Amino acid sequence: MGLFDKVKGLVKGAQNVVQAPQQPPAPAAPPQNYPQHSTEIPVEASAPQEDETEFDVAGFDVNDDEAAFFRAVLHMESEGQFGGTDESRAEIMQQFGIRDRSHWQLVKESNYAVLARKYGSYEEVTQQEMNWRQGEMQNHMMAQTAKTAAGGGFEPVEGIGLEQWAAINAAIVGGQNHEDLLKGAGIDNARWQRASAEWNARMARDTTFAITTAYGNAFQAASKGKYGDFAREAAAARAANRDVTLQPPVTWEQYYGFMYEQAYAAKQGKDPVAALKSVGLTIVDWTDLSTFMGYVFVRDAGRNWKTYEEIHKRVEAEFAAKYPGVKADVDIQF
Amino acid sequence: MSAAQQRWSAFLGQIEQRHAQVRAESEQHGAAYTADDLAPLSHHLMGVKSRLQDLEQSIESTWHAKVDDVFAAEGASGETRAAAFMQGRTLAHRLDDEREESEIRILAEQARRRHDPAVSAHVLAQEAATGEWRAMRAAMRALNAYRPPAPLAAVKAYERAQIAYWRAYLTVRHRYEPAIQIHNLPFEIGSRMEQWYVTSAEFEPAWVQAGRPREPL
Repeated sequence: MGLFDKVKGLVKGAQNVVQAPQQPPAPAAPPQNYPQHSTEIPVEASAPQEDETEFDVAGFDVNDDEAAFFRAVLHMESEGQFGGTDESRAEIMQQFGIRDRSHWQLVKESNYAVLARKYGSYEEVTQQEMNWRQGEMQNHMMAQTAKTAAGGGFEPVEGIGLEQWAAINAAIVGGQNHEDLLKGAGIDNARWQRASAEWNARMARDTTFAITTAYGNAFQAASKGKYGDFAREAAAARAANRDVTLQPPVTWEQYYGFMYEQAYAAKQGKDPVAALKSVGLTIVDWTDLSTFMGYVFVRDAGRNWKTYEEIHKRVEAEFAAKYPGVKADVDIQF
Repeated sequence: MSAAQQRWSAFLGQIEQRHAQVRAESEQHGAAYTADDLAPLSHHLMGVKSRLQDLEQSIESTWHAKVDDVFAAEGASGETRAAAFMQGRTLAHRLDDEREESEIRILAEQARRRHDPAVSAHVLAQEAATGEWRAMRAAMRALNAYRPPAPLAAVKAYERAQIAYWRAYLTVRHRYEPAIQIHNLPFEIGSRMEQWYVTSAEFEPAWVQAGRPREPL
């Protein structure tokens, strides 16, 4: 499943939980017969009894603490490392006064409706939820990094720290002479080989990706490519869970075009790096640009996924026309 | 055999045959490749991989786009349709394994000729661990095939298969990569397994209820 599909899923998830009210209800005093902590919803004096049960935010107050609701959605709706467990679901249900799964569906719908009123659209709610999840992931990664550091995972190897190792590797990939770089850093080749072997071995053992992430950050911090500043800005924004402050240096049409140039080169057994070169980019430029554009996408796709999808489909069709006949085996049909 | 089943089997047969043909051509190309620069071979392999993946993916995409409707129009039972779908999925999984193994064989042959640790370490270790790797992938697919929660036996089978793979892989890899602590294999395997214990096994109720029974390393 691609990122587009995931984003679509999130948007539709938020939208489908409730039939969005055309006119969001204005605040009013909560009716006496509403459950404790229910939000303020105007109810006609003559409203049928069943209408009264169609809105209930339970113990959540998303206007003041939306994170508690987003966390509950994550735990109630998903499994796995970043999802919930039977224990965490039971705790949430007890804490927020959720009776059962059926009640949870109502509570979820109601809280999304309140959030849609707060933010003006379900798309914006989706984006806020995605941003919250990004922040959670970032916090998790920072904890993993601290744990790895405490275990000595970032200790220098033969005097070569991760940042220095990454910076030299970045310079090598950037086209500088390997031997000159080592000479300039006062490192003999045997020592460099031993240090590289140990750093590679540490990364292979570190399946939490703490070292890999730190390496990637250090690699891009040392980047001298034309999009180096953009990559550094994306890393800073991700660490702070905020939007970027720089405007994208290329349009999305151009960016998807760069992607498809490489993909079609690979499909034809050609060098994707040469394909990048044909559009004026080095591999370092592409890495830095992808880091930046990828982060911009994640921070905006929730609210504008339709726009991204339209651009992507348009560029995809353009490249299919540009490279006809690349798809092989079309003779095999059911 | 119904007409739909015949067409489906014929389609799968064509996919399988073409996949084998493309792999064989690629392996011939790899065997004949003697240039010092591995980049052109690497690009060739990328192209082959893309083509083989397209073939594999065409199985399920064709099923959803056309085949299921044809079975339904014939009045096939849900059981029959599920069996036909699994016939395709089983083939796709096997072709997936064979694609990966084919690439490793080509690169391992290059590694043996070159005696370059940077090229050799992974591919020769992976080639040596092919049996364990296949068993591990089969165990993973078997586990994923369960609608949660999975039984403890399936979780344990995948755990054991992963450990066996890492043991076989690292035992060879350390010959080319001295940084791997072969005298402390439990540490090396354990560090690679830890993430699975924390991020996957921990969310299998049968595993937790059984007291998280980790295999000795």
